[in-house]
Amino acid sequence: MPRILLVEDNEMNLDMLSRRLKRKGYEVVIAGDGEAGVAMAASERPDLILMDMSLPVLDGWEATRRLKGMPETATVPVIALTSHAMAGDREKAMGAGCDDYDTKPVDFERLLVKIEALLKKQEKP
Amino acid sequence: MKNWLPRLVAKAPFTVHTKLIGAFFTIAALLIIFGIVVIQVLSGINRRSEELSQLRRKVAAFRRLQHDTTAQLYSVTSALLSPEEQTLESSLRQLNEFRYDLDRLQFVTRDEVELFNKIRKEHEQLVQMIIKVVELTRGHEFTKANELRLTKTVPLADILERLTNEMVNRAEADMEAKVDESNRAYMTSRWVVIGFAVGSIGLAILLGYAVSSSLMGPVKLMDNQLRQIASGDFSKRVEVPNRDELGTLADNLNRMNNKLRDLYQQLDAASRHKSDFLANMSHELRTPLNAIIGYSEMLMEEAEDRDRKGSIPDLQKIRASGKHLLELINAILDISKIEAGKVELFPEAFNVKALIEEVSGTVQPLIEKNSNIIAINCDDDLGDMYADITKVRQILFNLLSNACKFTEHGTITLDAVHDYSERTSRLLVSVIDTGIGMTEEQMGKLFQPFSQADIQTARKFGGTGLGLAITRQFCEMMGGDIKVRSERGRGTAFTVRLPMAAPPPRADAISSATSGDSSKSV
Repeated sequence: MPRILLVEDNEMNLDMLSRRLKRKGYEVVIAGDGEAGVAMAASERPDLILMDMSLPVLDGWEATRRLKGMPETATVPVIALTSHAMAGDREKAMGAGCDDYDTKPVDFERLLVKIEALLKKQEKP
Repeated sequence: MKNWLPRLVAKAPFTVHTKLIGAFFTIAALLIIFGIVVIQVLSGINRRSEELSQLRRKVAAFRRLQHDTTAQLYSVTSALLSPEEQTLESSLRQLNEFRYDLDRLQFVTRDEVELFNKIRKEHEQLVQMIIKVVELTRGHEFTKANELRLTKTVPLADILERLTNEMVNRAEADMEAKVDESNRAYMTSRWVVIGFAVGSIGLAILLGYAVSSSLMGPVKLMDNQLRQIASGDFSKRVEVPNRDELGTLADNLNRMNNKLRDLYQQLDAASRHKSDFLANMSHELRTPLNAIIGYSEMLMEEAEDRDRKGSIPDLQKIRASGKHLLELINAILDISKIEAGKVELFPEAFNVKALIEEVSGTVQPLIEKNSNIIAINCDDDLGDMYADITKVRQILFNLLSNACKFTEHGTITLDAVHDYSERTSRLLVSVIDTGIGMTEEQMGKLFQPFSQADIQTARKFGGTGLGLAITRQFCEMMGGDIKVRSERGRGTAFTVRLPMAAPPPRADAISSATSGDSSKSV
């Protein structure tokens, strides 16, 4: 089963998203801040990362930049999750190296489509 | 360096009115003085020419005297040589004429009275002698007469001639002197007149320059300042040296500038606070909403799994209410961002037909909800469009969901055409429904925020009343427009026109997109 790293500091979101992902059959590992997320990505080797952008200690943009800078995690796809439904946030997230972008509150079905698409792309080449 | 004069005029503590009147009076006074000088000079010339003609008359009179003296002697001599009564008579008559000459001379020789009296005396003697000679001749005492003529009359005539000569010479010398003086005076007068003319013109020009510069300089400065203010730059002050109405005007302008600057800063701060507040509030509202929607979905999934379907309709209501609230928050955030001018365009190339299919897929549940059917007619040559896809998507979604909302058991038609009729090719999208339609009055306030056609409509159909306002703002931002046709009870047709190629994004749009948002997220 694909392993997903969920980096999110809000307890409720973390609880809800991880439970729903698990129910869909994914293995979920969690981190509460950007720095922990980077460390976890290196140690747990997830297949995909769901990254909140506004995180304590190290924000999502910087965390993504670091992940994409490390050879062992550079190829892991990152989906940015942010409640900033602002024009430009998408560009900012993509600029940091994210592979896709979704706004919060999460439309779970839409998110699943994006996760599946990225995982499939990852398998193929 | 030359500005000291306008500055001086500006600093003079008089009103502009007084300054202008003063300047005009000064120029008028200069004209009057110039006129007086010219009249003076002309009358001088006139006086001198009169003097000159007087001198001329004097010289002529003296000459005549001289001539008559000689003639007298000649006539007496000839009378003695042929002593006829007729000749003697004419000699005596000539004496009278000579006296007339002297009488005439009296008027022109006021200066040479002494010399004139001498001539008169000598002449009287000569007359006496000639009368004597004539009498002797009449008495045929020719020898005595001739002797008297030789011893008395000839010397007397010589003296007289000398004296008249002296007078003529003196008068001629006077005349020459007068002509010289007149020439000199003419030259002097000419320079005086030229000098005065040049001086007055120069002074008038200088005065005009000083007054107009002292007025126009500040006006130009203030005009510049007003331009600055109009362009939103309140950093400068206008400094004018004037102590008149213009000085007051400049002071008031500066006061206005400061007041506007303060107001602008307050407004700017208030607007920033409002935007920050809205952004923060939307995040704060979204956090619990996120949980409400997420957990209700989770509970629905669990209910499905555990076959407890009784609670599903209630959970669906919770989820739908949460979604509606989210929609409202997003719309409010959108409209406030548009109003604050914070919405930027991020154009990219995308396939129009694919986007239309995607959006019609998204609205499929809404279409089915009111038992409507949808018909999509896309031109084959729609091709790619270069625009902000998020906003085009939202426009299409708003129009379609709007049509679904107000139509039951009807048809919603979407026509998409590539319009080449204008210089820039455009995408024409029409969304036509067979719904409730609108009256003219309702259409009037259609695109204004929070104005659904009426309160009852809003209650019955729900929605934020912001969708069309946002749609129109987006259309206009992208250089397009939106039009509506409707008939009560028959249906409504919205037509959106958007340029196929948006202008490239501005540099500041990109920089603000990467500068980030410091607000705390969930």
